[in-house]
Amino acid sequence: MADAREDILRAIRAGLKLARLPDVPAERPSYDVPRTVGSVAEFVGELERLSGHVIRVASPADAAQAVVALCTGRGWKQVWAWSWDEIACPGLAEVLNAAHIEAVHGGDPADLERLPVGITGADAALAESGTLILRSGAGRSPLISLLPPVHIALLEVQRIFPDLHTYLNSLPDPVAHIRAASNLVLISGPSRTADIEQVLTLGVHGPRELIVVLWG
Amino acid sequence: MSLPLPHKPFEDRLAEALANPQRLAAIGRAAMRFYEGRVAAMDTLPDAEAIRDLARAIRAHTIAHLDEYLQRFEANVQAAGGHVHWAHDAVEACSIVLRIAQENAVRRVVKSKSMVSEEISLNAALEQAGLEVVETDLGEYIAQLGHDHPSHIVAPVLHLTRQEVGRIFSERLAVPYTDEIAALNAIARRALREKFLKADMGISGCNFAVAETGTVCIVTNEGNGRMVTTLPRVHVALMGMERIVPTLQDLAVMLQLLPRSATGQKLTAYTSLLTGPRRPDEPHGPQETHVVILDNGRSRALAGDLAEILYCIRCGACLNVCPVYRTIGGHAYGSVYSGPVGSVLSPILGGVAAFADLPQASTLCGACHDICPVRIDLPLLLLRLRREVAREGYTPRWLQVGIRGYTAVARRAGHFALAARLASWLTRLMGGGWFNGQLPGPLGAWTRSRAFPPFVRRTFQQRWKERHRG
Amino acid sequence: MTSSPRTASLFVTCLLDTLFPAVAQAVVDVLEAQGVCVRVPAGQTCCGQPAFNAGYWDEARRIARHTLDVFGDGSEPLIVPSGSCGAMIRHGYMRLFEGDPEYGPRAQALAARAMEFTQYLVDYLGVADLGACYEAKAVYHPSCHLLRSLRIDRQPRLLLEHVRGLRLLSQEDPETCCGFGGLFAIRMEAISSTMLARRLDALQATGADLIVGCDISCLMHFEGGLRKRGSAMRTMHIAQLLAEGLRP
Repeated sequence: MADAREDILRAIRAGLKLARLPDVPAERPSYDVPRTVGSVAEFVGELERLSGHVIRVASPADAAQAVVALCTGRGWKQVWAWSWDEIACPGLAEVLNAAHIEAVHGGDPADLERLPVGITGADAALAESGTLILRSGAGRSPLISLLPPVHIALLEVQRIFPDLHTYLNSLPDPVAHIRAASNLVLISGPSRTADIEQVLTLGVHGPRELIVVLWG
Repeated sequence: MSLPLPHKPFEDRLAEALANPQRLAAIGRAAMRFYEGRVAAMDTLPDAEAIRDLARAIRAHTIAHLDEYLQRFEANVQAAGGHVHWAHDAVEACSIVLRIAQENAVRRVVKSKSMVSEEISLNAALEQAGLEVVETDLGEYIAQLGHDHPSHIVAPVLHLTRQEVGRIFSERLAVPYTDEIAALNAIARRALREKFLKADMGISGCNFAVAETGTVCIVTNEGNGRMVTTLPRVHVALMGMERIVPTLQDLAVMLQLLPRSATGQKLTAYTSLLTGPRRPDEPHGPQETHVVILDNGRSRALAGDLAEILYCIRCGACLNVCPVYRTIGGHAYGSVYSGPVGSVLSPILGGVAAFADLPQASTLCGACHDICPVRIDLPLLLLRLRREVAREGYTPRWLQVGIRGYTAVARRAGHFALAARLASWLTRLMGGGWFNGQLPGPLGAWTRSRAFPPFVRRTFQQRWKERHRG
Repeated sequence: MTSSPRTASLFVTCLLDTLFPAVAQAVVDVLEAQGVCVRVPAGQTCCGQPAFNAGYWDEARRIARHTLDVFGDGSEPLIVPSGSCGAMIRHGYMRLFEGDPEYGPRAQALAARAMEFTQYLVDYLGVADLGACYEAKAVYHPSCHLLRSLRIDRQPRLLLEHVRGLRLLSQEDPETCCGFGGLFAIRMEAISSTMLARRLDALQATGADLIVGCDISCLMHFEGGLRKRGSAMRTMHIAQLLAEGLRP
């Protein structure tokens, strides 16, 4: 297939000599596009408009309590979770333990997909679109926010950015950040489809419920 | 270059489509809804016109340096541990995917939406080799079960009712009939969850390939795109070679426009950035990732005055706004790519011979140009294709004669005046005034649904000359 | 009021010349009422758009060269009472004569002084109220080339808003194409007539007496369909409405 590669590149170079390409800028395009100003209220509003739920609390301890309340309220005895370090909500492990709720962190997806809820942290959130950013890594399986019917994400308020441009700009080395993980997903609300008669349904393949516990 | 060719001629496809007004009405309504969503969503941008200009500049710059960016992308995919393959055409692309499957003892494949996979008829090639291939995008899954074809880039089964879907499920999945939408979705969720967990290989498309990181970006709503690219041990991403963006910031610009233009969303439920196989410390993810870069006629498009079509980001907005698409639906185009963009792409990728009708199926109203997020001048591209079609001799005989006659008449004032007089004589023969009967030949096409206006005895210029004599 | 005599040339258009000369006369009447001296250079035929749209660009060029010769190299405005012909002269001619050392610059010069009828009145002459009266319920149809190629919409609406006694109604999906598209109406008759039917249903649903527009091609399409349906609804070119509205 090295032939195809050389052929195609050669065809592109030859084609470019004849190509009529309108509006090719003299220099690489730059970004003077106005930014939206992000806020917590905007994030919450956007996410709720997407049928996500937000539970707003003051401290990590309150966040942990909120998670336990959800679990006991729904009768969940087992949860699939990111590792505690990655969720980075101090006290969560202890509080779940005290409520006799077992947290599973890894295993075969075929077994784990039956668990009722996946609990994760989040790298960041985007106010403009009610989006959570989750990067894969050790203790951060992307399947946890995907396979169970409910996804709970714990997020610190300081991690909310106005939009994707701003978030990328905030990283010391965005390229390295993206290259470090096989999977980075922007989650904007629960799974949805309108393929049948344009009627909106939540939870086709991914979670039908997305709950963000927002603390700080 | 190649594209699956239509099974019947254009007139037959058109007649079939127009014979089902309810289905067309549903398509028209859905397209309208997407259009309204797009308008509202674009309003949420601080300066939509500036972002469109920027996106156009990014696409133009990228295509103008396509070879550099493809090479950069390839190097970064490899640096992340992924593999890159290049395919001249459909046949080659299919054999690459088959080889990957064979090398990895793959028996079961799950797929998420990929226009390229339909372009190259991948499913047929894999099934012929004995693999099980399951479409997992709900609309594509329904189309596959029902032995049907998608009728819209973004909403594949726009043309089916819930009853039709219920029938397909009950027949093909051996479940009790239901036409309740929530229940239908639940059936699909259960059936496909099994497939995801047992699949050996996942095949996806690629909305954007980011050159500076070697990332494949896919935008989806259902979650199947994530499952296809995370659960099986092998992931293959198919990309048309023009689907490249140089940097992450460029991607961010595109992501402001693609979901808004396609479905009226700010972002789809899931935007996945996939860079290579699972890292040593990651618990899940594919062990092997492959990207197949496909030419299939795109380099030919590049080499001329149709190159602008390569700016397309496949949002489908032009379909939603096109009055012709809304009138005839997607199937009548007889191609994987329908609507205005399809009318340009299909003759390029599939040859003028098979798709000569498509560039004619337009009034050049310009609504597509107005709505395109990257401002592609689709009417101009359609005009250039019409020139191509005429050059290659695909114009019907009566029109060739007609154009020759018209040209002779319109290039000389004397001929024009004579023709006007002859026409007015014909009008008198037909009884004078507007003619409400049937005319023979091609003009019969007009009179089937419209009265024909009368040619006057003295043209305006004749009257003007007489009035201003002396 | 104009302080110096204004001169303008008129591009009659083939449809007005051979089918609807009264409309061309109405254009002249309205302009003369504004003190414009209208010239009609002899020997006009067609802008060449049918050949251009059909992909026969060499043929279109032959016709366009004749048209460029007819209008010569004057400097006064060229008034075009049609959005589609206007778009052909302002944009199509550039495409046809790209790189042509003789006709390229001439096409550019003609494009620069070509103006659609309502654009000339509102933007060039600066008039919106012609003092016209016309009692009717009307619906305005924005033709596609006028709306999108020439970006003219405000001007005809402004003129109509100032016609005393005229009630302007609005239609559903007003900017959707009527389905004429030149040869499309014949080559793709099934699609064209379906699009026409949809448009006429929407227009008739407004309850208006007449459809007003700036493009005789769309109006002719509507008129043909309305007569086939046996409808009493009429079509009028905006020039006709204004001219009749100016009659004492």
